[in-house]
Amino acid sequence: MSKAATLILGLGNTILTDDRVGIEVGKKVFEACGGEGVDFLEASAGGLALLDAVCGYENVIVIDAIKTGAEVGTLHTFKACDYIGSMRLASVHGVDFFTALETGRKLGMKVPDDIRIYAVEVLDPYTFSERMTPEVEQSVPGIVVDILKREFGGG
Amino acid sequence: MKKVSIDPITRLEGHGKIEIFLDDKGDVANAYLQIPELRGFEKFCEGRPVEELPRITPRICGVCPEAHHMAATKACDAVFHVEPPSAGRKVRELLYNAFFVGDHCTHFYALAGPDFVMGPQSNPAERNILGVIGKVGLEIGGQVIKCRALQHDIARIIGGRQINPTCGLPGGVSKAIIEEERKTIEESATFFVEFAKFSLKLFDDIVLKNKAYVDLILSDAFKQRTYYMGLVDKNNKVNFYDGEVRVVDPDGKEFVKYKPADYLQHLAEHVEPWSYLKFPFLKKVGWKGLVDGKDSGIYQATPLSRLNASDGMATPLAQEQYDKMYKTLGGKPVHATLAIHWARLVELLYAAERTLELAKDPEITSPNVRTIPTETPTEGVGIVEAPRGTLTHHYITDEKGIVKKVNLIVGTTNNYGSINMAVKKAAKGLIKAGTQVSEGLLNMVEMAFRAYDPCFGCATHSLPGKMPMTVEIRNHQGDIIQTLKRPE
Repeated sequence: MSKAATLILGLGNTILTDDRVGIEVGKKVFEACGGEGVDFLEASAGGLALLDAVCGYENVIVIDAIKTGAEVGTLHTFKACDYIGSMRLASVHGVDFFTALETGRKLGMKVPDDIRIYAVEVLDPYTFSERMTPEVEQSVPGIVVDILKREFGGG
Repeated sequence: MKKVSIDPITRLEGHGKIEIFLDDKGDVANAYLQIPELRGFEKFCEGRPVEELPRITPRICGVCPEAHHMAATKACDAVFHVEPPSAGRKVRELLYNAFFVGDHCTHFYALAGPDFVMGPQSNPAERNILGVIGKVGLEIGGQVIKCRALQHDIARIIGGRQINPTCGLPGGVSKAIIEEERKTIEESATFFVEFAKFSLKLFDDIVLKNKAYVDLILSDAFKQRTYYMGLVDKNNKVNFYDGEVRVVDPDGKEFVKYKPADYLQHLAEHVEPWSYLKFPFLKKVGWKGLVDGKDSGIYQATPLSRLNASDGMATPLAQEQYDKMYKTLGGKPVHATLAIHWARLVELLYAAERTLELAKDPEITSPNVRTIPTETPTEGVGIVEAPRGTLTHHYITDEKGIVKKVNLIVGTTNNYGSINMAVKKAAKGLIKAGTQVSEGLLNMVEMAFRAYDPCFGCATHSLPGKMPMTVEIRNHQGDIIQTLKRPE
């Protein structure tokens, strides 16, 4: 199956309360953008597994949860060229996302040059639940609009 | 009493915290690995239809989802009192062995490899997969990535998804393998066998021919004499997917062999007030504290434990390597913690050979891959070997199959006692009265820890070579006299 030019990659664990926000927002952004030239993938993984997912695309939009202490619902933006330490993207069992990307580049794989990361400030990414907290749930529509404007000029 | 703390920085949730207590002379008195987080996953599963658990439990950990998926599926077989047909079993086992190939390959090259290829005292910035690729070459690095990619493709073909498979059902699997898929899997498995052979040769060249590394492997700082556990088939050969649980004592003699349903007759869990993770131990030996030896009920469940607990490997090339390992290390059982890495490579070869065997099995494309359950669900236990240890899923349901109670003993939980003892031993070897605690302590403690490839519900996060830690050394009055931090 050939790949589109752009990948929307929603990351998270769908049974850890707010940790599912990356996947929920990613799905909604994909549905709203019309899908032409865009693929969507949801993943509950990190490191080398994500390398396999992103290679072959021209650009990648990663959407995930983050907890920094900022106001819940804040949308943080990063590029993959910025170093970010993340508890979810690093593991004793593998390598972190950024090391994985660097590994792919060293090996001559088609790692996208343009990877943009949107991280939603969440309240609770730790406890087991299949529902997000009301605070994060309420912030989702606005976040989707924000990402659509930045990426596709719409919203 | 002085305290040295190795505490992951707050962005990692503080999942694991190592406390080292010095006596008044400045020597190590004790060390403890605390798990301060209550996961509560078992409670979360209550009230759900039991057949959902093979899809929910893999979410405990994104690294070994196949292990939880398979243990949960087998527990569901037991709950519904149904046996899969032969082809269904083989499809499951094929998926599972391919998973082992990917997982063991990743661990060796991305985690263990840096310690040996770059050296335990090397620059932390280089002691990672990038450093390994720089040293062994791009071609080999490419083979590692290829191995993982092929394994993920097999997971997608059989399991429905690259990560978090969904094929397991009570009584079998959801779909059969067609001939075109079988050919793809066979081709991948042929590559796996060659790469596993190569990896063992690499280990031989880089580690076994280096006297310093062999001395490190055999050193007392990394040795514990415990009981060893692993799944074995009817010939007492290692099997990752099914069989009986066999335990040998520190002298290598069979202590017990039991069916999965009987695990509670043999295992109990000890609780300490300073950690949420419990310590499994052998009931008939008893809990004697964090000590090793024949009189202590502590056991290990690691790749090395599996080999110690077995009478060999069920495939020919792996059996040769098994024989070589034990001959080199002085016979069975081997008690050297760092030899876990070698055992892991022997298992990599077995998993590759078994994947190829199953891919060539004429029955593997049979459409008869499921037996529909007809009995009323009650209770069941499913046990598999996860890459990092024996994994037990135990479910109790009502008559409609709604979960009432869940008990999980995950791979690393089995080893919690041993990990504590390993950390203490490593610390004792490095912290002496009158010496300044150095960054070398952090590396050596990491090595002892990392050999177990621990997974506290994916709670512990670190990069090899730069595990975030803070060490605080306090004098007998509780004042901090030295702090070591990584990263700075």
